[in-house]
Amino acid sequence: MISFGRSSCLLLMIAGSASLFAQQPASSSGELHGNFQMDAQYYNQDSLIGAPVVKEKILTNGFMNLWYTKGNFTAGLRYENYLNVMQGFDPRYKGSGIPFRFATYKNDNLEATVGNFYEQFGGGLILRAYEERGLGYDNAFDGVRVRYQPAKGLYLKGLIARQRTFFSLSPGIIRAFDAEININELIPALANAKTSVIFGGSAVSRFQSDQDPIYNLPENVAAFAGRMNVIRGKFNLQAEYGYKYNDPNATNKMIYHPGQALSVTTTYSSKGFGLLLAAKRLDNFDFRSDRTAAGIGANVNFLPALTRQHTYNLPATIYPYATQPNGEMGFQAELSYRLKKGSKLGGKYGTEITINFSGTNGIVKNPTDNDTLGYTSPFFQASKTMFFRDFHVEIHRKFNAKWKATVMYLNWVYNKDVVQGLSGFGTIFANMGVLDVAYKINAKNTIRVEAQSLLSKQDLGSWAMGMIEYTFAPNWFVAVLDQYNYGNPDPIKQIHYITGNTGYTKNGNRIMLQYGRQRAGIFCVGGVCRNVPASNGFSISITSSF
Amino acid sequence: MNKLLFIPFLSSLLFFTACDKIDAPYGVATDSPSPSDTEVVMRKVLIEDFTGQTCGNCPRAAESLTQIHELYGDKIVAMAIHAGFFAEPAGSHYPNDYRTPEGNELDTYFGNSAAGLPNGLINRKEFDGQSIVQHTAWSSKATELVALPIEAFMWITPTYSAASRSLSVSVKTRFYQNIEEGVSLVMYVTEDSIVSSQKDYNLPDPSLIESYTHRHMLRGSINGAWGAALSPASTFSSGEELINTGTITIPETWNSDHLSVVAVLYRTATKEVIQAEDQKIY
Repeated sequence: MISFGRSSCLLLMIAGSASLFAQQPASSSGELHGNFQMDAQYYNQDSLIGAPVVKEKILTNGFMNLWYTKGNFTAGLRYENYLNVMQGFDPRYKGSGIPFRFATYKNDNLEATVGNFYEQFGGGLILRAYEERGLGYDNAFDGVRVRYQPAKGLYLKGLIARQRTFFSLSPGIIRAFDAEININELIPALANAKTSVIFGGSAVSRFQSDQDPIYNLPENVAAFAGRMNVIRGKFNLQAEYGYKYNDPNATNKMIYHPGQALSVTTTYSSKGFGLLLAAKRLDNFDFRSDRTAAGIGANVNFLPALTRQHTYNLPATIYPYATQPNGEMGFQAELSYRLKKGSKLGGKYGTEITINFSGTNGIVKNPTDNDTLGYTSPFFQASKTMFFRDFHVEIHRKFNAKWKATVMYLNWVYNKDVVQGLSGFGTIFANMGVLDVAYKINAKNTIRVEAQSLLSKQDLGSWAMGMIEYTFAPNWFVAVLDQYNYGNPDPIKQIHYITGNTGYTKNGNRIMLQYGRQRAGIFCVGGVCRNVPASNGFSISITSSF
Repeated sequence: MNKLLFIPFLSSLLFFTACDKIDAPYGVATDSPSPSDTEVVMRKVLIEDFTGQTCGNCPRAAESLTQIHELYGDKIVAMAIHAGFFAEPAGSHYPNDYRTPEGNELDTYFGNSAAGLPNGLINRKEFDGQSIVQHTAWSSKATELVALPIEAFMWITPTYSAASRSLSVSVKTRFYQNIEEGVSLVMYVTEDSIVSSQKDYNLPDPSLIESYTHRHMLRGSINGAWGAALSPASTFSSGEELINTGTITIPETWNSDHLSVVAVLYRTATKEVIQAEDQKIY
């Protein structure tokens, strides 16, 4: 997927902490690395947008990572505080502590980790622990993990752990194993073969005791997955299938129906031309380390939406699609093409065109006589219920040393009831347009302007968005953004959500100031709905790394 | 590194295949008889259901509570607390405001509505560090707690004057174990069977039940959200009995035929409930 340099307020607030592992020890005394982030907001009451009184007036989230490496040994910890939790984050984070600490060493071809760690098997279909700080998401494991390479091309991983939920651990114990075989590495004769093949298989089992007086619940729930990756020249094929035994849980409304998931992606990419075709089917595949968990948290597996993740403000924030783990069937096709440099159409610097179409429907569910078993579902059949459609065309062109621009058109269908777990909102049809123009005044000064429009007759009606950003390289930027809901059927709610922000970056430190309004929203996951109130206020974000 | 490690490593695969395949019947909604004689002294568990009239998934939690009530009878004391965004009056279909200052205070303290509704508290106890419990786990937690030995029991004696709408309550607490810490008693008033609208996402648009029966709804309190500490403040010994009283004037909007007093005895420091009791006012 093509991504062009853009700044988004949200993205800027997320600190990069992924680079820590890249550090190699240089001295015999080992090396210490770390990073720090603090976000704080002062909240104003704003009855127009419905921003409530925040008793504390100021809320802050903060953390510091400390990583120590010496030779083959690494240890680290992360301190976090939420005093009190900022709006938009789960209030169950309230408090402070050290939820993440670990030690790991590597001896020859065996690596052992105790404490907290992140992990992913294959595409994450049955296991993935990760952190998404900007969303307040962290399902890190806490336990023991061993990675072992018995032979060239053979990679084994095993772990036993519980998962983080806020400042405690979810009740289930996860036992998991993964094996990956790289055929070309394993068999020396194939080392230089034109086709390379990787197979993988994994098993994950959760133990959670059954004290339920009403249901006879499985205390051990197992899931299996197999995957393969074939690469030949410009072609790449990835496929993964997963199966999960009976796992009645809060998300699937306590049904015993087994879960299945299949994901297939093929790509062809050559210079100036790329094609992606992908398909996915999910059936009852929400897998958590706590069967009663609702909302976000304690997820064992990772089911990303089969659609492009947009970064422009209106497509990214008004109607973003979210995977429906209880059942969905989707596909995605993307064609990217680069008009040649110097050609009549391509211009001096060439022009990039991306056409993308993705769609997701529900699956067919035929109820069974025994409603506790749930339903049966024909594997290759999608239901007629449309969950989401995204068709878009994006053209990016650099005109000369000073000017470059991106235009984008999007046509969406968004089933608000299904995606947000609500009822009574129906399906929303929206057309969107984005224009992004950047002008480089000189080596240090760049000005960038965005104009976006969302046209819809349903729900909140139409939106317009404008942004102007001035960058004074390499240290400063300042931006003003306005989201305007001019088409809201309720004239009182035709509100401007204006945000201004400025940031200063130098030597690994970044300070950002922001003042503005945020919209309210209702988010439902797994049968639990949370209202994130609107906010109006001044916020500061400080990040630092060493 | 010895390559023989490979063998135990692979054989460890067997561990990861642990799986229980459950065949029908998956469970029973039992209607087994449960102890209903309130004279019988027994451990009772408080289940607080945080809910709201526009919370479309909340009827599922109410159904869970009914199921647990059927299973454990009088061992369960239930209270529905309407709080947060989904309890606000909304449009012409949801004109009522069932929030209470006491419920709001509990909601702020435990963070229920902010964590997303429905959810609840079981004896206001922390499980794995979390006091908020999803309704699918209520029955398991309740099963765990009803089995504990009794620490104290309460007898509620309400006296209601229909003319003055004055409700006087006397609560006798008797300890069955020594408790070496501060204990508080709070007396709430709940109203059962309030018929009014409720959103239900199991129904098609507009997902509205116009005459939904709201069960055991928290209406107010005789002595505030947290009640008062029992004196003597620090220790209570087995066999000790204490009597606490309070009075409240019942507003016209509450149906006195459906009112109950809910008494909750809890550890002052941790807020964990020791015992709960409910009694209809007549």
